Amino acid sequence: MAVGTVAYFSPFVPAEWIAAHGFEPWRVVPGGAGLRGSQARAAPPEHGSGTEIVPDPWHPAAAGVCPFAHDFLMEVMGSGATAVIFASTCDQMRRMAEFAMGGREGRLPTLLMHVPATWQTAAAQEFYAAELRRLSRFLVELGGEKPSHERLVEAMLAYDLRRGDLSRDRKGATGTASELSHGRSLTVAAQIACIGMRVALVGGPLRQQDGWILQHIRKHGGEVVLDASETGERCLPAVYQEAAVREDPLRELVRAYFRSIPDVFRRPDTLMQEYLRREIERRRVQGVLLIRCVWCDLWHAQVGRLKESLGVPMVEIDLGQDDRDLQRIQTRIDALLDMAR
Amino acid sequence: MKDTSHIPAQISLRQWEGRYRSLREAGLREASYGGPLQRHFAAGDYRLEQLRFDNSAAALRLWNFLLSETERLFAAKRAGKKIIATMKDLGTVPILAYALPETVAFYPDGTWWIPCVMRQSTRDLAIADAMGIDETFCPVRAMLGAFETNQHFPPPDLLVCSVGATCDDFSAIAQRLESRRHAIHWWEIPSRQGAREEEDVMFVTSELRRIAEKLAEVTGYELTNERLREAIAQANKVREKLNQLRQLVFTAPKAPLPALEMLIAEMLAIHYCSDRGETLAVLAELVDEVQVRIEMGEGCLPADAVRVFWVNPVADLRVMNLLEECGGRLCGSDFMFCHALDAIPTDVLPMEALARMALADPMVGPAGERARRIVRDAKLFGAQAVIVSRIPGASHCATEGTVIREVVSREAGLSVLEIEVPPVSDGVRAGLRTRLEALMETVRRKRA
Ligand code: SF4
Ligand code: SF4
Repeated sequence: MAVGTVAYFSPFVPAEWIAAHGFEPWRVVPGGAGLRGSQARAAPPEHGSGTEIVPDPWHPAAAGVCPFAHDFLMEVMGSGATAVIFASTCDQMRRMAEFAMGGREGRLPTLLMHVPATWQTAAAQEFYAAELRRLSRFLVELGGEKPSHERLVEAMLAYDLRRGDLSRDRKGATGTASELSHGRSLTVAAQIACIGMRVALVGGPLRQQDGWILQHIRKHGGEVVLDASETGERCLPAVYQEAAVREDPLRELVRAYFRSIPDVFRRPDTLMQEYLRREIERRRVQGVLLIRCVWCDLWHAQVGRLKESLGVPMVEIDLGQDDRDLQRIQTRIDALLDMAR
Repeated sequence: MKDTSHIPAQISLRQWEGRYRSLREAGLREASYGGPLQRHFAAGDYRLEQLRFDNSAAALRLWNFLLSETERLFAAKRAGKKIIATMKDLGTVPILAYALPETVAFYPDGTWWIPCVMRQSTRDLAIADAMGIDETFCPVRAMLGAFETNQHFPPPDLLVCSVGATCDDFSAIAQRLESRRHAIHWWEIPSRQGAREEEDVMFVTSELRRIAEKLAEVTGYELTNERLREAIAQANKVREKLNQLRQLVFTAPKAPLPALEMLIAEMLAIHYCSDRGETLAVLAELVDEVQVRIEMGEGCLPADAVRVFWVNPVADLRVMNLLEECGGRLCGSDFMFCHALDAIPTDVLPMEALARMALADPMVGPAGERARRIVRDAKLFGAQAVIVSRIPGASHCATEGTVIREVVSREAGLSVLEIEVPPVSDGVRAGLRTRLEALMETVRRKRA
């Protein structure tokens, strides 16, 4: 029986580390049904029926706030979770953590984990390991138990197996694999055989209500063969090496997460650029749909860069706080499918 | 006719022509970069025509020093000095660079003001646009254009950029820059959290050592503790002088120096405008001028001007003038680098001292901590209101104003106004004026 539920979103927060301390890890993808489970939207919502922003005591959803970071905060604060972990992988999330810690209307035990943007030095890797140890102390203070070597190894291998099973279920045919790392499937079933235009989703996270985008692509003759969004397979940790897990589990956690996940905030961002080039070529992608939240500078700045470097047609869509722009997004997706044809 | 030329006043660029002539006739001696301000306008700094400047020789020197930085950087390059572009961290890496002989540091971030100063007459923003970095980013995006055109600074020998607990704008823009074949030495500043203080200091110390190694590789000079101690001593002299100036100006019964000149003077502390020795001389002359004015009971604004604490630099310098036109005066500031005004400790190893300073950056910690420092300083300088100036597109501006407003209202009981200032604010000037005047009116009513 779990001691409680620990909410987080960053792919750099290892679910198995939380689970090994006796908590249920809950990767919050906003727009779902809270702690009860996820709800993907299968069709474009009607105009004006978008997610309702919870009345917000901390911030009036002012211009400039990333809707994902904002919705994450809102969903977590109203969820009844035991605690929440933020990662400082972007300024917006870092600042949302401050609201969670010091909101007028109450607070939730909150840890802001610093995940270094630099990743090539031993010092940065050690910093990440130290942050995992700090997370451990935080969880122990909340009633968790510091895991023994055996328990940690067991949790890591179990999660690795689960991720592997889910990947195998996809039969190597990619599809959208959001939440694989954490054992919850966010979006759509795997695509077994690709018959349509081969599309890659690249960019930031999708919220639950954005699932219709995938359906729209399929309905109009496209097939998502690579989900390199932040809720997709790009942000999975590397497969564990069992011997390394048994020898030094923390070091293997650092390797699989910190040294392997190719994310947009890393400096330099070569891991991500190499990943995208490699996977786009390997999966014979014909068009890239770049998804970004409005006010997300990190992904916005990638648009020009990726257009120059990827060598396949690319269209960007920005996901806002309401559904007013649905028509525009649909038109852009259709334009991508036309270009790729 | 009575000679009023010594009386502090704010004058236009055109009026500076006559003022300059009379100062010269009276025997004004200038530094090598001296001369009439008009020449900067002729060279493309068109915004100067709309600004109002302090009429002292000290202010003339300040402006000439600021506006001649490009020439100074190109001259240093021609003289074979190593040019280090230090990006994002404000105030730390230049101290390392200036510790080494034949080395000059500057902030490409300074191009932030180019769209304003040159009234968008350059191609810098258009180049940034073409790279996909549009106006939804902070005006620092002008830096991308500056690196392509090489008009504002020569190609640097090394680019050093801090990441980690920084704004998303800069991290994203610097990465875009690197994608254009400008190799960057990245270093990390973690988000400041009390619980991790000593570990953070050790980590940042090791990051600064990495920079020192890189600097040694580029310049051929080793960064010894002795060199660094001397560089810290020089930095502390500049900070001490600046703090003296702030204390005098912010607490004087009548403002002895306008807000615009104070903003420029504070900026010198973070990178010395590419000449450390001259920075000290410029600040010293300003202090002397201010002391004389205070002794004579003179100021450039009425004694009843509303005392305002200003948060964040303004993308359009003209708004500092507007504050005064609306009846305010500057009494305290947090232009985002107040950590670069504090004395650097000399009782610890020099690299550790710099790490502590870097971690004290208000922007790497919670906005609540920044707000508490604002409260402390606002009380110290007797500020009667706080203005938070939003920077268009800046990731931190989305939320920090809310936090600052709440803390300042609760802990200091001051009125807080949040405004957004674009690089050229002429289009929103009427609205800004109305809001500033309303704030002054509110404070006056409270005062009465
Ligand atoms: S979408 Fe961008 S701004 Fe929003 S939380 Fe993710 S990285 Fe941060
Ligand atoms: S967003 Fe703010 S901190 Fe970042 S470069 Fe712009 S002004 Fe500076």
